[in-house]
Amino acid sequence: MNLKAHDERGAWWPVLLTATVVFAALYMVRSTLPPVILAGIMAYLLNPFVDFGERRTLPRWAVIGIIYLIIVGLIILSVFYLVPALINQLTDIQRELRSLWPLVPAYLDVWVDWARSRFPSAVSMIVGDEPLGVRVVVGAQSWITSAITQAPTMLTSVLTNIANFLLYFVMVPFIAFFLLRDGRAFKMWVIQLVPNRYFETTLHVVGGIGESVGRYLRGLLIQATILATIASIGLTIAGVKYAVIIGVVAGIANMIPYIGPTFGVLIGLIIVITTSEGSVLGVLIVFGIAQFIDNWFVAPVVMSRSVKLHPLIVFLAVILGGTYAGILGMFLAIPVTGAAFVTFRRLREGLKPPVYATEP
Amino acid sequence: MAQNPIWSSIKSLISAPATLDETFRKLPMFEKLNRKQMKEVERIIHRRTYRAGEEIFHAGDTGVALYVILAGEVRIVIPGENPDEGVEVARLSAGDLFGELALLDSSPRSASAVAASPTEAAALARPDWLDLIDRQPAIGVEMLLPLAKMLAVRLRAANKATVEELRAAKASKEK
Repeated sequence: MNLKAHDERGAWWPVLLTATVVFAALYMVRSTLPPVILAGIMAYLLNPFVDFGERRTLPRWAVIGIIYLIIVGLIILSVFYLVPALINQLTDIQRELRSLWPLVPAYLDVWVDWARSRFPSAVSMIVGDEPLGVRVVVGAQSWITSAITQAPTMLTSVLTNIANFLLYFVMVPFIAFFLLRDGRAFKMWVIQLVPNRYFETTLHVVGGIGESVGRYLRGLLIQATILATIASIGLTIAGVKYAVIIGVVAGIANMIPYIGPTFGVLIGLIIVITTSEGSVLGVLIVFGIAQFIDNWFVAPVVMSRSVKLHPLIVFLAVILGGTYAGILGMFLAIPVTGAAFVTFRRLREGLKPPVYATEP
Repeated sequence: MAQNPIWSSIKSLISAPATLDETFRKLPMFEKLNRKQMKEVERIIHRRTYRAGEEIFHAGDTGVALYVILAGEVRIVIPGENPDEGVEVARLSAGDLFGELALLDSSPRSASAVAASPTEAAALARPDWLDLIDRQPAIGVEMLLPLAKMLAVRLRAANKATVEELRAAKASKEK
């Protein structure tokens, strides 16, 4: 049997070489990538709104301007509303902790003595023979002393972090503006550089990535909005203080797989415990219902046509993303893995050499 | 001397003429678009240059784009049992359009397209086109109606050919 294939098509090496060069270049500039990635996410999420405005015959730059003004307005409003609330909240927590702090060593010693009377060798192996309360106080004192000595360094690092944050705050919307306005032109320009042989395959791959990742990110936004709404309403009914803030934070946090939903519940519980308004059970019930609706009704509908990955692949990708790029990595794990799968599948389709009829 | 494909792509970018309007206006699919709509379509057009003998797309591959020949000639070939064999079913020149079915679905190409001479073509990709229609539905209507008409004409011709073939087969059977 003799199978003949066209020799020029189906060549993988130029694709692999290009991918290697691109990855090497990205690796070299990796420290500058996070703001670009965040801007890309922002552009993806805002694009449907810009398209909506464009459909109503408004120029893209004007729609982006209006959206930015709305976002800035919302940020200013939430700062005015949130900052005093947060300061009050932190003062409350500080007051609570101050009154609780002297009781901590005594409480700890009571529990350790109880455990020591039952399992003496195990307890002395774990906590030693010295009373634990004394050790906690001494440890805290030495931590405070070292914190005071390191204060200048810490202050510098805090200031650097604030500067970085402000830089991101300016850079991300700035890059996102151009991605939203000229994103298509950038894409066209890059595709123009692709050799003819890979032109249609590239279009196919880029189209597939745009479709699945776009759907995923927009689905995520819808999910976050629905979860935030349900949690805010539920927590308000349950009498929890700052219900809307907790709901919004829980909705945003929900975008991060696995740890996101837990984070929302934790914030709710902390607020309930420190303010003594609302009940722990109420928070658990509200988030339980919100997660149930999200997982059983919202996610299957909004995510049904986005990236389709096996749960194990999702789990591994999220762990890998978290290990190498923290929270951003966890957030990006699913869309990046989805894009990689689409790329591989479509490249395989596109670069598969044609098979001609077998010769007898 | 064979030209480096990347270099020829860059060169085509630099030497691209300003407007495609003139060529596109002559095609039914684009003739109803107003100037502003045409500008929007032009924004998503990829200009490609091909050497003589270079394949534009291959039969069996997933179709992703429609092409309009701006200069040169293109052979539409149904590949044979061997790579060297093939039946030329059409020879197209500047102003002609091909591969339009790729705009409607991503089904495999029914024939290959090969540049018969140095060719310049404008490609309209399906994902970009769908995105444009989503943003500006009026453009979609203006383009889809002529496309549907074009397909209806072809379908009628194909039906007619099939009926004639059946009649001829019946007649020869009766003889």
